[in-house]
Amino acid sequence: MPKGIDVSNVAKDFELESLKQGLRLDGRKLNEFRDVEINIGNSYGSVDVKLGKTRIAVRISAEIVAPFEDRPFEGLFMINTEISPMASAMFESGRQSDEEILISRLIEKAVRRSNALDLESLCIIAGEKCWSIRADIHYLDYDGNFADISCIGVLCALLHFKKPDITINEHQEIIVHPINERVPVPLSILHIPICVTFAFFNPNDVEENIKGDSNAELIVVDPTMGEELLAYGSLTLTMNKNRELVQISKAGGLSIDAMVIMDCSNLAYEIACRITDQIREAIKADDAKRAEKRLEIRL
Amino acid sequence: MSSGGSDELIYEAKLSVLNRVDGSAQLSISSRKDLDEGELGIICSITGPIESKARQESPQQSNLEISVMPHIGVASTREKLLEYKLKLVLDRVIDSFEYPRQLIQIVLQILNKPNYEDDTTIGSDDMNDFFSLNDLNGCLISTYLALIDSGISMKSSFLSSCCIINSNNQLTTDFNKNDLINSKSAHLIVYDLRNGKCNNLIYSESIGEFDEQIFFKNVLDKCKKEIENLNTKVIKNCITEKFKNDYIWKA
Repeated sequence: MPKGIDVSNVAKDFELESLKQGLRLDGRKLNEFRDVEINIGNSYGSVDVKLGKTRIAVRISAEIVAPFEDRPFEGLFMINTEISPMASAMFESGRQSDEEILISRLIEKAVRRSNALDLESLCIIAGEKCWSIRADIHYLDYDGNFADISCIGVLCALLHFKKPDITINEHQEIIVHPINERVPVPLSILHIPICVTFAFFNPNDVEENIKGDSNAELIVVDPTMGEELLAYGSLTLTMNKNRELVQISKAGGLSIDAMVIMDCSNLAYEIACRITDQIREAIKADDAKRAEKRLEIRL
Repeated sequence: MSSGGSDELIYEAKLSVLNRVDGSAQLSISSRKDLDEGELGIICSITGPIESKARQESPQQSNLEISVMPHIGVASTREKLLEYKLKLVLDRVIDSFEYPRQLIQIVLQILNKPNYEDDTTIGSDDMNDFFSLNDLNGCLISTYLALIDSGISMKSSFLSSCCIINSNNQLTTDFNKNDLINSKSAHLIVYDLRNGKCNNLIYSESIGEFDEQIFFKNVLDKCKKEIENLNTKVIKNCITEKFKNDYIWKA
Protein backbone atom coordinates (compact mmCIF):
# COMPACT_ATOMS: atom_id res chain seq x y z
CA MET A 1 0.00 0.00 0.00
CA PRO A 2 1.45 3.39 -0.93
CA LYS A 3 2.25 5.09 2.32
CA GLY A 4 2.78 8.64 3.39
CA ILE A 5 6.32 9.78 3.82
CA ASP A 6 7.88 9.20 7.25
CA VAL A 7 10.48 11.67 8.44
CA SER A 8 13.22 10.49 10.76
CA ASN A 9 13.79 12.23 14.10
CA VAL A 10 17.22 13.38 13.00
CA ALA A 11 15.82 15.05 9.89
CA LYS A 12 13.04 16.59 11.98
CA ASP A 13 15.45 18.06 14.52
CA PHE A 14 17.72 19.32 11.79
CA GLU A 15 14.95 21.11 9.96
CA LEU A 16 13.50 22.64 13.12
CA GLU A 17 16.91 23.76 14.30
CA SER A 18 17.67 25.41 10.99
CA LEU A 19 14.27 27.12 10.99
CA LYS A 20 15.07 28.51 14.44
CA GLN A 21 18.15 30.07 12.88
CA GLY A 22 16.03 31.53 10.11
CA LEU A 23 17.22 29.13 7.43
CA ARG A 24 15.19 26.90 5.13
CA LEU A 25 16.39 23.84 3.30
CA ASP A 26 15.79 25.41 -0.10
CA GLY A 27 17.66 28.58 0.82
CA ARG A 28 14.64 30.86 1.11
CA LYS A 29 13.96 33.33 3.89
CA LEU A 30 11.09 32.42 6.23
CA ASN A 31 8.81 35.05 4.67
CA GLU A 32 9.73 34.38 1.07
CA PHE A 33 7.21 32.97 -1.42
CA ARG A 34 8.59 30.70 -4.13
CA ASP A 35 8.74 32.08 -7.68
CA VAL A 36 5.59 31.42 -9.66
CA GLU A 37 6.00 30.27 -13.25
CA ILE A 38 2.94 30.64 -15.46
CA ASN A 39 2.76 29.01 -18.89
CA ILE A 40 -0.26 29.67 -21.05
CA GLY A 41 -1.20 26.99 -23.56
CA ASN A 42 -2.56 27.14 -27.07
CA SER A 43 -6.25 26.74 -26.35
CA TYR A 44 -8.27 29.17 -24.26
CA GLY A 45 -8.29 28.40 -20.55
CA SER A 46 -5.32 26.08 -20.58
CA VAL A 47 -2.66 27.09 -18.09
CA ASP A 48 0.31 25.32 -16.50
CA VAL A 49 1.67 26.70 -13.24
CA LYS A 50 4.83 25.85 -11.35
CA LEU A 51 5.63 26.87 -7.79
CA GLY A 52 9.11 25.56 -7.15
CA LYS A 53 8.75 21.85 -7.77
CA THR A 54 4.99 21.85 -7.27
CA ARG A 55 3.29 21.75 -10.63
CA ILE A 56 -0.31 21.77 -11.86
CA ALA A 57 -2.20 22.06 -15.13
CA VAL A 58 -5.60 23.74 -15.26
CA ARG A 59 -8.11 23.29 -18.08
CA ILE A 60 -11.33 25.29 -18.31
CA SER A 61 -14.28 24.08 -20.37
CA ALA A 62 -17.79 25.39 -20.96
CA GLU A 63 -21.07 23.81 -21.98
CA ILE A 64 -24.70 24.89 -22.10
CA VAL A 65 -26.98 23.28 -19.52
CA ALA A 66 -30.20 24.00 -17.61
CA PRO A 67 -29.65 26.09 -14.44
CA PHE A 68 -30.64 24.94 -10.95
CA GLU A 69 -34.36 25.42 -10.38
CA ASP A 70 -33.88 27.57 -7.29
CA ARG A 71 -31.35 29.79 -9.05
CA PRO A 72 -32.77 30.52 -12.49
CA PHE A 73 -30.59 33.60 -13.11
CA GLU A 74 -27.24 31.97 -12.38
CA GLY A 75 -24.87 29.82 -14.36
CA LEU A 76 -22.92 26.90 -12.98
CA PHE A 77 -19.30 26.75 -11.92
CA MET A 78 -17.52 23.58 -10.88
CA ILE A 79 -13.96 22.97 -9.77
CA ASN A 80 -12.60 19.45 -10.03
CA THR A 81 -9.72 18.78 -7.67
CA GLU A 82 -8.87 15.13 -8.01
CA ILE A 83 -5.31 14.34 -6.98
CA SER A 84 -3.87 11.35 -8.83
CA PRO A 85 -0.87 9.28 -7.70
CA MET A 86 1.10 11.17 -10.35
CA ALA A 87 1.66 13.98 -7.84
CA SER A 88 2.93 11.58 -5.18
CA ALA A 89 2.26 7.95 -4.26
CA MET A 90 0.72 9.15 -0.99
CA PHE A 91 -2.40 10.14 -2.94
CA GLU A 92 -4.40 7.06 -3.84
CA SER A 93 -6.37 6.98 -7.05
CA GLY A 94 -10.14 6.81 -6.67
CA ARG A 95 -10.11 7.65 -2.98
CA GLN A 96 -10.06 11.08 -1.42
CA SER A 97 -7.60 11.52 1.39
CA ASP A 98 -8.29 13.98 4.22
CA GLU A 99 -5.69 16.30 2.77
CA GLU A 100 -7.37 16.24 -0.59
CA ILE A 101 -10.74 17.17 0.93
CA LEU A 102 -9.10 20.03 2.83
CA ILE A 103 -7.49 21.36 -0.33
CA SER A 104 -10.65 21.13 -2.42
CA ARG A 105 -12.69 22.93 0.27
CA LEU A 106 -10.09 25.69 0.48
CA ILE A 107 -10.21 26.24 -3.27
CA GLU A 108 -13.97 26.02 -3.28
CA LYS A 109 -14.22 28.76 -0.65
CA ALA A 110 -11.48 30.93 -2.13
CA VAL A 111 -12.65 30.93 -5.73
CA ARG A 112 -16.26 29.81 -5.97
CA ARG A 113 -17.85 31.13 -2.83
CA SER A 114 -15.98 34.42 -2.96
CA ASN A 115 -17.84 35.12 -6.22
CA ALA A 116 -14.66 35.56 -8.20
CA LEU A 117 -16.58 34.38 -11.25
CA ASP A 118 -19.77 36.34 -11.91
CA LEU A 119 -22.37 33.57 -12.17
CA GLU A 120 -25.19 35.86 -13.29
CA SER A 121 -23.29 36.75 -16.44
CA LEU A 122 -23.46 33.07 -17.40
CA CYS A 123 -27.25 33.11 -17.68
CA ILE A 124 -28.54 32.78 -21.26
CA ILE A 125 -32.31 32.28 -20.94
CA ALA A 126 -33.51 32.64 -17.33
CA GLY A 127 -34.56 29.31 -15.86
CA GLU A 128 -33.87 27.43 -19.09
CA LYS A 129 -30.35 27.69 -20.35
CA CYS A 130 -27.07 28.84 -18.88
CA TRP A 131 -23.34 28.26 -19.25
CA SER A 132 -21.71 25.72 -17.05
CA ILE A 133 -18.03 26.46 -16.50
CA ARG A 134 -15.79 23.66 -15.36
CA ALA A 135 -12.24 23.96 -14.07
CA ASP A 136 -10.21 20.76 -14.00
CA ILE A 137 -7.07 20.98 -11.91
CA HIS A 138 -4.53 18.28 -12.72
CA TYR A 139 -1.93 17.89 -9.99
CA LEU A 140 1.28 16.76 -11.64
CA ASP A 141 3.99 17.18 -9.05
CA TYR A 142 3.85 17.72 -5.30
CA ASP A 143 6.18 19.78 -3.23
CA GLY A 144 3.79 21.38 -0.79
CA ASN A 145 1.28 24.19 -0.97
CA PHE A 146 -1.34 22.80 -3.35
CA ALA A 147 -3.85 25.36 -2.08
CA ASP A 148 -1.97 28.47 -3.22
CA ILE A 149 -0.92 27.10 -6.58
CA SER A 150 -4.45 25.83 -7.34
CA CYS A 151 -5.87 29.24 -6.63
CA ILE A 152 -3.34 30.95 -8.89
CA GLY A 153 -3.89 28.35 -11.61
CA VAL A 154 -7.69 28.52 -11.59
CA LEU A 155 -7.81 32.32 -11.58
CA CYS A 156 -5.25 32.60 -14.36
CA ALA A 157 -7.12 30.04 -16.45
CA LEU A 158 -10.48 31.74 -15.85
CA LEU A 159 -9.02 35.09 -16.91
CA HIS A 160 -7.61 33.49 -20.03
CA PHE A 161 -10.65 31.45 -20.99
CA LYS A 162 -13.06 32.64 -23.66
CA LYS A 163 -16.40 31.04 -24.34
CA PRO A 164 -17.91 30.93 -27.84
CA ASP A 165 -20.23 33.79 -28.75
CA ILE A 166 -23.96 33.00 -28.89
CA THR A 167 -27.08 34.54 -30.35
CA ILE A 168 -30.71 33.74 -29.66
CA ASN A 169 -33.01 33.70 -32.68
CA GLU A 170 -36.73 34.50 -32.83
CA HIS A 171 -37.71 30.92 -31.90
CA GLN A 172 -35.75 31.21 -28.68
CA GLU A 173 -33.13 28.87 -30.06
CA ILE A 174 -29.48 29.32 -29.09
CA ILE A 175 -26.92 29.50 -31.89
CA VAL A 176 -23.35 28.86 -30.78
CA HIS A 177 -20.79 30.48 -33.07
CA PRO A 178 -17.53 28.54 -33.35
CA ILE A 179 -14.39 30.35 -32.23
CA ASN A 180 -13.07 30.73 -35.79
CA GLU A 181 -16.33 32.29 -36.92
CA ARG A 182 -16.84 34.97 -34.29
CA VAL A 183 -14.56 36.44 -31.66
CA PRO A 184 -15.16 34.52 -28.42
CA VAL A 185 -16.18 36.29 -25.20
CA PRO A 186 -14.12 36.38 -22.01
CA LEU A 187 -15.67 35.50 -18.65
CA SER A 188 -16.52 38.25 -16.24
CA ILE A 189 -14.15 37.99 -13.29
CA LEU A 190 -15.10 40.25 -10.40
CA HIS A 191 -11.89 40.06 -8.38
CA ILE A 192 -8.76 37.94 -8.13
CA PRO A 193 -8.50 36.14 -4.80
CA ILE A 194 -5.02 34.82 -4.01
CA CYS A 195 -4.30 32.27 -1.29
CA VAL A 196 -1.19 32.56 0.84
CA THR A 197 -0.40 29.67 3.17
CA PHE A 198 1.68 29.90 6.34
CA ALA A 199 3.04 26.98 8.33
CA PHE A 200 3.65 27.26 12.08
CA PHE A 201 6.41 25.57 14.03
CA ASN A 202 6.89 25.44 17.74
CA PRO A 203 10.51 26.04 18.76
CA ASN A 204 9.79 25.39 22.47
CA ASP A 205 8.62 22.31 24.36
CA VAL A 206 5.28 20.49 24.04
CA GLU A 207 3.66 22.52 26.82
CA GLU A 208 3.77 25.54 24.57
CA ASN A 209 1.51 23.74 22.04
CA ILE A 210 -1.40 23.89 24.48
CA LYS A 211 -0.81 27.13 26.35
CA GLY A 212 0.86 29.12 23.63
CA ASP A 213 1.45 32.27 25.67
CA SER A 214 4.90 33.15 24.48
CA ASN A 215 4.04 33.92 20.82
CA ALA A 216 7.38 32.53 19.79
CA GLU A 217 6.06 30.43 16.91
CA LEU A 218 8.13 30.24 13.79
CA ILE A 219 6.09 31.35 10.82
CA VAL A 220 7.01 30.06 7.40
CA VAL A 221 5.41 31.26 4.15
CA ASP A 222 4.65 28.86 1.29
CA PRO A 223 5.77 25.61 2.95
CA THR A 224 7.34 22.82 0.89
CA MET A 225 6.29 19.23 1.38
CA GLY A 226 9.01 18.63 3.97
CA GLU A 227 7.89 21.65 5.96
CA GLU A 228 4.22 20.70 5.69
CA LEU A 229 4.96 17.28 7.14
CA LEU A 230 6.64 18.79 10.21
CA ALA A 231 4.42 21.83 10.80
CA TYR A 232 2.19 21.99 13.87
CA GLY A 233 -0.44 24.00 12.12
CA SER A 234 -1.16 26.00 9.02
CA LEU A 235 -3.03 29.14 8.13
CA THR A 236 -4.35 30.00 4.69
CA LEU A 237 -5.30 33.61 4.06
CA THR A 238 -7.10 34.50 0.85
CA MET A 239 -6.92 38.13 -0.17
CA ASN A 240 -7.35 40.28 -3.24
CA LYS A 241 -5.74 43.46 -4.42
CA ASN A 242 -8.59 45.57 -2.98
CA ARG A 243 -7.36 44.69 0.52
CA GLU A 244 -10.36 42.43 1.05
CA LEU A 245 -9.83 39.38 3.19
CA VAL A 246 -11.79 36.59 1.52
CA GLN A 247 -10.99 33.69 3.77
CA ILE A 248 -9.08 32.73 6.87
CA SER A 249 -8.59 29.04 7.32
CA LYS A 250 -6.58 27.92 10.31
CA ALA A 251 -5.87 24.23 10.66
CA GLY A 252 -3.77 22.44 13.26
CA GLY A 253 -3.41 22.69 17.00
CA LEU A 254 -1.01 25.53 17.67
CA SER A 255 -2.81 28.57 19.09
CA ILE A 256 -1.89 31.78 17.34
CA ASP A 257 -2.21 35.31 18.68
CA ALA A 258 -4.51 37.68 16.78
CA MET A 259 -1.70 40.18 16.28
CA VAL A 260 0.41 37.51 14.62
CA ILE A 261 -2.42 36.88 12.19
CA MET A 262 -2.52 40.64 11.48
CA ASP A 263 1.18 40.54 10.62
CA CYS A 264 0.57 37.53 8.40
CA SER A 265 -2.24 39.37 6.61
CA ASN A 266 0.02 42.31 5.85
CA LEU A 267 2.59 40.00 4.35
CA ALA A 268 -0.11 38.06 2.49
CA TYR A 269 -1.40 41.31 0.98
CA GLU A 270 2.03 42.13 -0.43
CA ILE A 271 2.39 38.65 -1.90
CA ALA A 272 -1.16 38.70 -3.30
CA CYS A 273 -0.51 42.04 -5.03
CA ARG A 274 2.67 40.76 -6.62
CA ILE A 275 1.06 37.54 -7.85
CA THR A 276 -2.01 39.38 -9.17
CA ASP A 277 0.26 41.62 -11.23
CA GLN A 278 2.14 38.61 -12.49
CA ILE A 279 -1.09 36.89 -13.59
CA ARG A 280 -2.31 40.05 -15.33
CA GLU A 281 1.02 40.40 -17.12
CA ALA A 282 1.01 36.78 -18.27
CA ILE A 283 -2.50 37.20 -19.70
CA LYS A 284 -1.55 40.48 -21.35
CA ALA A 285 1.54 38.97 -22.95
CA ASP A 286 -0.51 36.09 -24.32
CA ASP A 287 -3.18 38.45 -25.69
CA ALA A 288 -0.51 40.45 -27.48
CA LYS A 289 0.96 37.28 -28.93
CA ARG A 290 -2.44 36.17 -30.21
CA ALA A 291 -3.19 39.60 -31.71
CA GLU A 292 0.11 39.51 -33.57
CA LYS A 293 -0.67 36.04 -34.89
CA ARG A 294 -4.11 37.14 -36.10
CA LEU A 295 -2.55 40.10 -37.87
CA GLU A 296 -0.04 37.81 -39.57
CA ILE A 297 -2.81 35.58 -40.85
CA ARG A 298 -4.73 38.56 -42.21
CA LEU A 299 -1.64 39.86 -44.02
CA MET B 1 13.10 18.85 -24.39
CA SER B 2 14.18 16.58 -27.18
CA SER B 3 12.18 17.29 -30.26
CA GLY B 4 12.35 15.97 -33.72
CA GLY B 5 10.20 14.64 -36.37
CA SER B 6 9.66 11.83 -38.68
CA ASP B 7 8.86 12.95 -42.20
CA GLU B 8 5.29 13.65 -41.25
CA LEU B 9 4.78 14.20 -37.54
CA ILE B 10 6.52 16.39 -34.98
CA TYR B 11 7.27 14.64 -31.72
CA GLU B 12 8.53 16.37 -28.61
CA ALA B 13 9.56 14.26 -25.68
CA LYS B 14 11.26 14.71 -22.35
CA LEU B 15 12.12 12.22 -19.65
CA SER B 16 12.35 12.73 -15.86
CA VAL B 17 9.93 15.64 -15.73
CA LEU B 18 8.44 14.84 -12.32
CA ASN B 19 10.11 14.62 -8.90
CA ARG B 20 7.95 12.40 -6.70
CA VAL B 21 7.67 9.38 -8.98
CA ASP B 22 10.18 6.80 -10.15
CA GLY B 23 9.80 7.47 -13.85
CA SER B 24 8.07 10.10 -15.92
CA ALA B 25 7.86 11.37 -19.47
CA GLN B 26 6.10 14.16 -21.29
CA LEU B 27 5.22 13.78 -24.93
CA SER B 28 3.52 15.89 -27.54
CA ILE B 29 2.62 14.88 -31.07
CA SER B 30 1.55 17.43 -33.63
CA SER B 31 0.85 17.38 -37.30
CA ARG B 32 3.17 19.14 -39.74
CA LYS B 33 0.27 19.97 -42.01
CA ASP B 34 -1.61 22.26 -39.73
CA LEU B 35 0.25 23.66 -36.75
CA ASP B 36 -2.77 25.65 -35.63
CA GLU B 37 -4.72 22.50 -34.95
CA GLY B 38 -2.83 22.00 -31.72
CA GLU B 39 -1.11 18.96 -30.37
CA LEU B 40 -1.81 15.81 -28.44
CA GLY B 41 -0.01 16.28 -25.13
CA ILE B 42 0.40 13.51 -22.57
CA ILE B 43 2.37 13.18 -19.37
CA CYS B 44 3.03 9.75 -17.91
CA SER B 45 4.25 8.82 -14.45
CA ILE B 46 5.34 5.46 -13.11
CA THR B 47 5.81 4.50 -9.49
CA GLY B 48 7.12 1.07 -8.78
CA PRO B 49 7.81 -1.58 -7.92
CA ILE B 50 6.11 -0.69 -4.62
CA GLU B 51 4.23 -2.62 -1.94
CA SER B 52 0.87 -3.70 -3.25
CA LYS B 53 -2.46 -3.84 -1.45
CA ALA B 54 -3.07 -7.35 -0.11
CA ARG B 55 -6.09 -7.97 -2.29
CA GLN B 56 -4.36 -6.71 -5.44
CA GLU B 57 -1.19 -8.70 -5.17
CA SER B 58 -0.44 -11.71 -7.36
CA PRO B 59 1.86 -14.35 -5.88
CA GLN B 60 4.36 -14.67 -8.73
CA GLN B 61 4.25 -11.48 -10.70
CA SER B 62 3.80 -7.76 -10.36
CA ASN B 63 0.46 -6.13 -10.64
CA LEU B 64 -0.14 -3.24 -13.04
CA GLU B 65 -2.38 -0.38 -11.99
CA ILE B 66 -3.05 1.90 -14.93
CA SER B 67 -5.09 5.09 -14.77
CA VAL B 68 -5.81 7.38 -17.67
CA MET B 69 -7.05 10.86 -16.79
CA PRO B 70 -8.78 12.97 -19.43
CA HIS B 71 -7.86 16.65 -19.88
CA ILE B 72 -11.45 17.69 -19.20
CA GLY B 73 -13.87 16.02 -16.81
CA VAL B 74 -13.49 12.81 -14.86
CA ALA B 75 -12.48 9.39 -16.17
CA SER B 76 -15.37 7.53 -17.82
CA THR B 77 -15.83 4.19 -19.58
CA ARG B 78 -13.80 5.58 -22.48
CA GLU B 79 -10.74 5.91 -20.26
CA LYS B 80 -11.42 2.49 -18.71
CA LEU B 81 -11.30 0.96 -22.20
CA LEU B 82 -8.03 2.76 -22.91
CA GLU B 83 -6.60 1.41 -19.65
CA TYR B 84 -7.65 -2.10 -20.60
CA LYS B 85 -6.00 -1.88 -24.02
CA LEU B 86 -2.84 -0.41 -22.53
CA LYS B 87 -2.71 -3.31 -20.09
CA LEU B 88 -2.95 -5.79 -22.97
CA VAL B 89 0.21 -4.34 -24.49
CA LEU B 90 2.10 -3.65 -21.26
CA ASP B 91 1.51 -7.15 -19.86
CA ARG B 92 3.46 -8.45 -22.84
CA VAL B 93 6.41 -6.11 -22.54
CA ILE B 94 6.92 -5.54 -18.79
CA ASP B 95 8.98 -8.27 -17.19
CA SER B 96 6.39 -8.80 -14.46
CA PHE B 97 7.90 -12.01 -13.02
CA GLU B 98 10.88 -9.92 -11.96
CA TYR B 99 8.78 -8.21 -9.27
CA PRO B 100 6.57 -10.77 -7.54
CA ARG B 101 3.82 -9.39 -5.23
CA GLN B 102 4.72 -5.83 -6.15
CA LEU B 103 2.68 -3.06 -7.65
CA ILE B 104 3.59 -0.90 -10.63
CA GLN B 105 1.46 2.21 -10.77
CA ILE B 106 1.10 3.97 -14.11
CA VAL B 107 -0.76 7.26 -14.41
CA LEU B 108 -1.36 8.93 -17.75
CA GLN B 109 -2.63 12.48 -17.77
CA ILE B 110 -3.83 13.84 -21.06
CA LEU B 111 -2.90 17.52 -21.11
CA ASN B 112 -3.84 18.75 -24.57
CA LYS B 113 -5.89 17.52 -27.47
CA PRO B 114 -6.01 18.71 -31.07
CA ASN B 115 -8.58 21.50 -31.50
CA TYR B 116 -10.74 19.57 -33.93
CA GLU B 117 -11.80 17.20 -31.18
CA ASP B 118 -13.95 19.98 -29.73
CA ASP B 119 -15.49 20.61 -33.13
CA THR B 120 -19.04 19.34 -32.93
CA THR B 121 -19.48 19.39 -36.71
CA ILE B 122 -17.31 16.30 -37.18
CA GLY B 123 -18.43 14.52 -34.03
CA SER B 124 -19.74 11.00 -34.55
CA ASP B 125 -19.19 7.62 -32.93
CA ASP B 126 -16.59 6.68 -35.53
CA MET B 127 -14.72 9.91 -34.91
CA ASN B 128 -14.74 9.34 -31.17
CA ASP B 129 -13.35 5.85 -31.74
CA PHE B 130 -10.65 7.40 -33.83
CA PHE B 131 -9.79 9.96 -31.14
CA SER B 132 -9.42 7.09 -28.69
CA LEU B 133 -7.10 5.33 -31.11
CA ASN B 134 -4.99 8.46 -31.40
CA ASP B 135 -4.91 8.83 -27.60
CA LEU B 136 -3.85 5.21 -27.23
CA ASN B 137 -0.97 5.84 -29.61
CA GLY B 138 0.25 8.78 -27.50
CA CYS B 139 -0.30 6.86 -24.27
CA LEU B 140 1.78 3.91 -25.49
CA ILE B 141 4.73 6.01 -26.61
CA SER B 142 4.78 8.08 -23.42
CA THR B 143 4.44 4.97 -21.25
CA TYR B 144 7.39 3.40 -23.05
CA LEU B 145 9.51 6.48 -22.32
CA ALA B 146 8.41 6.61 -18.69
CA LEU B 147 9.17 2.88 -18.28
CA ILE B 148 12.71 3.50 -19.50
CA ASP B 149 13.04 6.42 -17.12
CA SER B 150 11.82 4.31 -14.19
CA GLY B 151 14.30 1.52 -14.87
CA ILE B 152 11.62 -1.17 -14.71
CA SER B 153 12.72 -4.39 -16.38
CA MET B 154 11.21 -4.93 -19.82
CA LYS B 155 11.20 -7.95 -22.09
CA SER B 156 11.48 -5.80 -25.19
CA SER B 157 11.26 -2.26 -26.48
CA PHE B 158 8.04 -1.29 -28.16
CA LEU B 159 6.57 1.65 -30.04
CA SER B 160 3.33 2.40 -31.78
CA SER B 161 2.06 4.33 -34.73
CA CYS B 162 -1.31 5.42 -36.01
CA CYS B 163 -2.27 5.86 -39.67
CA ILE B 164 -5.36 6.52 -41.76
CA ILE B 165 -6.43 5.44 -45.25
CA ASN B 166 -8.39 7.90 -47.35
CA SER B 167 -10.89 7.20 -50.10
CA ASN B 168 -8.11 7.04 -52.75
CA ASN B 169 -6.41 4.25 -50.78
CA GLN B 170 -3.60 6.61 -49.77
CA LEU B 171 -2.00 6.17 -46.39
CA THR B 172 -0.80 8.86 -44.05
CA THR B 173 0.29 9.16 -40.43
CA ASP B 174 -0.05 12.94 -40.54
CA PHE B 175 -3.64 14.05 -40.71
CA ASN B 176 -5.66 17.18 -40.10
CA LYS B 177 -9.38 17.71 -39.73
CA ASN B 178 -10.10 17.39 -43.46
CA ASP B 179 -8.12 14.17 -43.80
CA LEU B 180 -10.11 12.72 -40.96
CA ILE B 181 -13.42 13.59 -42.56
CA ASN B 182 -12.32 11.95 -45.82
CA SER B 183 -10.77 8.88 -44.22
CA LYS B 184 -12.11 5.37 -44.71
CA SER B 185 -10.27 3.57 -41.97
CA ALA B 186 -7.77 4.15 -39.18
CA HIS B 187 -5.19 1.77 -37.74
CA LEU B 188 -3.04 1.56 -34.65
CA ILE B 189 -0.03 -0.73 -34.84
CA VAL B 190 2.34 -1.68 -32.02
CA TYR B 191 5.64 -3.42 -32.75
CA ASP B 192 8.41 -4.58 -30.49
CA LEU B 193 11.84 -3.41 -31.52
CA ARG B 194 15.07 -5.34 -31.86
CA ASN B 195 18.28 -3.53 -32.88
CA GLY B 196 16.23 -0.53 -33.93
CA LYS B 197 14.12 -2.59 -36.31
CA CYS B 198 10.50 -3.65 -35.93
CA ASN B 199 10.35 -7.28 -34.91
CA ASN B 200 7.05 -8.77 -33.76
CA LEU B 201 3.62 -7.28 -34.08
CA ILE B 202 2.33 -6.90 -30.52
CA TYR B 203 -1.00 -5.22 -30.99
CA SER B 204 -3.13 -3.95 -33.80
CA GLU B 205 -6.46 -2.20 -33.83
CA SER B 206 -8.45 -0.91 -36.77
CA ILE B 207 -11.68 0.96 -37.31
CA GLY B 208 -13.59 1.49 -40.53
CA GLU B 209 -13.64 -0.48 -43.79
CA PHE B 210 -10.44 -1.65 -45.42
CA ASP B 211 -8.86 -4.26 -47.66
CA GLU B 212 -6.99 -7.21 -46.21
CA GLN B 213 -4.27 -6.80 -48.82
CA ILE B 214 -3.76 -3.12 -48.13
CA PHE B 215 -3.61 -3.79 -44.42
CA PHE B 216 -1.00 -6.53 -44.51
CA LYS B 217 1.18 -4.83 -47.07
CA ASN B 218 0.81 -1.08 -46.94
CA VAL B 219 -0.47 -0.33 -43.44
CA LEU B 220 2.07 -2.50 -41.65
CA ASP B 221 4.91 -1.17 -43.83
CA LYS B 222 3.87 2.43 -43.33
CA CYS B 223 3.62 2.05 -39.57
CA LYS B 224 6.91 0.13 -39.41
CA LYS B 225 8.63 2.96 -41.20
CA GLU B 226 7.10 5.57 -38.92
CA ILE B 227 8.03 3.59 -35.79
CA GLU B 228 11.64 3.12 -36.92
CA ASN B 229 11.85 6.80 -37.80
CA LEU B 230 10.44 7.80 -34.44
CA ASN B 231 12.90 5.51 -32.70
CA THR B 232 16.03 6.82 -34.42
CA LYS B 233 15.08 10.49 -34.67
CA VAL B 234 13.37 11.15 -31.34
CA ILE B 235 13.39 8.34 -28.80
CA LYS B 236 17.11 7.61 -28.95
CA ASN B 237 18.00 11.29 -28.58
CA CYS B 238 15.85 11.82 -25.56
CA ILE B 239 17.11 8.66 -23.85
CA THR B 240 20.70 9.76 -24.51
CA GLU B 241 19.88 13.14 -23.03
CA LYS B 242 18.42 11.53 -19.94
CA PHE B 243 21.48 9.38 -19.33
CA LYS B 244 23.76 12.34 -19.88
CA ASN B 245 21.89 14.16 -17.11
CA ASP B 246 21.96 11.12 -14.84
CA TYR B 247 25.74 10.84 -15.12
CA ILE B 248 26.44 14.56 -15.00
CA TRP B 249 28.92 14.17 -12.10
CA LYS B 250 30.72 11.16 -13.54
CA ALA B 251 33.01 12.84 -16.05
